[in-house]
Amino acid sequence: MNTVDLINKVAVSNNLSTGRAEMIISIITEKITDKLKKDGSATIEDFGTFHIETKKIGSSIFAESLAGIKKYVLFTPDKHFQDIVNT
Amino acid sequence: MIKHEIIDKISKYFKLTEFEAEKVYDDIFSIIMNGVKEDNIVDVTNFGEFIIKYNNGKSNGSSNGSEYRRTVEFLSSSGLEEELNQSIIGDASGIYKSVGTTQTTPVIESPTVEPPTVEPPIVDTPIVEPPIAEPPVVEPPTLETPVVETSTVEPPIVKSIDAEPPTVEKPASESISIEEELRRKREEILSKITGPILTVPPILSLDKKEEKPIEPTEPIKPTELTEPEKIEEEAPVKDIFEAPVIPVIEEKTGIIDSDIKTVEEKTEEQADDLSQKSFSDYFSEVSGETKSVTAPEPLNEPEKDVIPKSAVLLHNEIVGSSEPPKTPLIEEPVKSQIPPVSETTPKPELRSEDNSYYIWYKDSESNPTDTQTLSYEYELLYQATKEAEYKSKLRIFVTTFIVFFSVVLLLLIFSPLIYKFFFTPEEFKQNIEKTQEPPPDVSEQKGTPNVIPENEIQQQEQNQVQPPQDTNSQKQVQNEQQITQQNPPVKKEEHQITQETSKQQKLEEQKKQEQQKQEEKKNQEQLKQEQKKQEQEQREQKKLEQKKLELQKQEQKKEEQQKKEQQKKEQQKKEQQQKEQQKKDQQKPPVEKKIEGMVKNSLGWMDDKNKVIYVQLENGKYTIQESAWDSESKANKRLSTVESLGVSGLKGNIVKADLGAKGTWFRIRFGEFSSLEEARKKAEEFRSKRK
Repeated sequence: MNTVDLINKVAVSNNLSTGRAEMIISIITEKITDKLKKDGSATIEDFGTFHIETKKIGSSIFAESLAGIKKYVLFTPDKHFQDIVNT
Repeated sequence: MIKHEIIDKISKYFKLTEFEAEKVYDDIFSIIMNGVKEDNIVDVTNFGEFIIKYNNGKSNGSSNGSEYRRTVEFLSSSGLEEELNQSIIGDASGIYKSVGTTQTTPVIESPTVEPPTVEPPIVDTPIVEPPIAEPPVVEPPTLETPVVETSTVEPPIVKSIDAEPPTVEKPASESISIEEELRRKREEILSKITGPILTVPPILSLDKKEEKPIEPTEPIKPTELTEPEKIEEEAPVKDIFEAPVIPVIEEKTGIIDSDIKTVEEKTEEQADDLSQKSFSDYFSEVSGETKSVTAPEPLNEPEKDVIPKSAVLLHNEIVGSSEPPKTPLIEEPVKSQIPPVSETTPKPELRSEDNSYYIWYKDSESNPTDTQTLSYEYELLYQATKEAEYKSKLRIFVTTFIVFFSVVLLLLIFSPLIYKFFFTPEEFKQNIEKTQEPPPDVSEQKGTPNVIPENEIQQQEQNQVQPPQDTNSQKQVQNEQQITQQNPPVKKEEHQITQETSKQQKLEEQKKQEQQKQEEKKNQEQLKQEQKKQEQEQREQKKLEQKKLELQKQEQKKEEQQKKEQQKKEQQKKEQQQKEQQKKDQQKPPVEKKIEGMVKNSLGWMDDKNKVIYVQLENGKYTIQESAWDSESKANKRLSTVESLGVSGLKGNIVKADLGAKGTWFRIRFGEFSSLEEARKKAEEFRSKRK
């Protein structure tokens, strides 16, 4: 399922234009990223939680510098989401 | 809570109720979940992918029969990772800079310039986006600016980081308190930023909004802090690179804090603006305060008051009126909407220094005032252009009509002259000559009585001989003569001379005319004679033809008579022949018509007893016709059988008879008898033998 399909479905289900649907989705993603940047985690009801984890790349002194640290996002689905997936 | 924030934003931007926004919010996540369930993958651009995985660690591929449970995994996109990692880099730069500074006063510098020379004493700044997202001074902020500028600024920051030692760590308690303070300050700044908005519509008040980001005159250098714990850990590493810096910081922390706070306020203002500004932030949030301040005006009012200057000027130029605009004009900040018509139009104030036009794409939601202004402007322009077109067309039509009408009038007025000039030029010239000639005197007319009648006669003859003149020309000639007669003679002496010459000319002309007439007469007579001759000849020819016809008729009659006579003769001959025949017939012995046992038929006498026919021959004798056959062979057989009987006096012969449609028959006949009785007797013998 692509973003295009997602946008079309959202637009059809809510009687919106595809542009508006796209903007809404972008708003959601931006909010989540902002929240992640600020707090390091973001929870969505009946969906899951996003949280950041860091990795140290390399073992040299430079690795210990921030340039050697890398962040990545982890997602833990909620019970509701897991039940839907496993049904 | 993210949900409430998102729902608030959606309801504000798209003018939806919270219920509807919540519904949309829930639908999106439900669609994602269903998509993950059905398609096992959902890709959201610039965010990441949701993929299904199995608990035993395998992907959606096969798992060997063991029970497993599906889970959802999220793979972030490269864009998201870059954003998050850039936040790290920003924090690091801020931390390093805060550690490596000696100055007490904060130095706010431009983010895009001078990475190695930067020495801002910012240590405990909150998490802020990299220095890229400063508000542009001139250019309007676009959606791409924060992202693009981040990429450009990365290298200098990295260098600064590499050059400077790591940041100084601090105890966790202090960091938490600082964080709280920073958050409070941020909130205060945000509240200030989202304060009362100006009353002027946004399109027209670009200057003020542009000024907003320009307010901080001092250069800004936003920094970031990710985790103060890590910064504390890295403090000793810094000592290696810049050992003397640390004691300065330790001594001047108090001073720095105060300075930092003042700087932080300013930096936070801008940084928060920039950090919080994103794609969605470029949609103007209409807060409660702003709503109260900027109450939407009624729709009727802006129609009166919102007429841009350029539109009115355009209209006036087209229409040609120099009246001042009645409604209060509003200066246009953006002139790209209405391009300038001519050089005389005043330049808009809100024009960039480069004299270039720009378009301000502000909000997704359209203000009613803006749409009304634009629509009204366009209506004015449209009307003005249409008026100009109609006027030009009218002028063209009117001029063409006038031209053609004038041409037609001239033609009607001067049509007789034109006709004369073009169609009867000879008469026209004669009339002109006559008008040029002087009128004859009355005394001379009296003295020359002979001339007048001759002239009159000649004229009459001319009229008779010549074809009838046009009525118009005659009338004009008469009119001219009348005019000349009416006009009194002037200068008699001169006229006498001219009259004499004219007389001579006239006489000559008369002579000529007489000669011509005589010739014409002769010609006419000759023509007549010829015609007569022709007529006579024709008559004679007709007579001859008639005679021939008569002769032919007579001959025909004669022939007919001859034919009739011949016919009569033939008839007479036939009658004579018939009579002779009758006589001969009468001479012949009388035929016994009524004989017992016999019936007469066309052939002869038919004997029913003996079953024979007695035929009378031409010589008067009778024969016995025994039978008739349709084929000769049969007839021969029959004849042979009869002859074999041996009857005396029966000499058989076959007579062929062509009966036409009935075919050819072969009649068998025996003997010749002088009378019927003999023939009958023989027939009886024959029959008796045959039995």
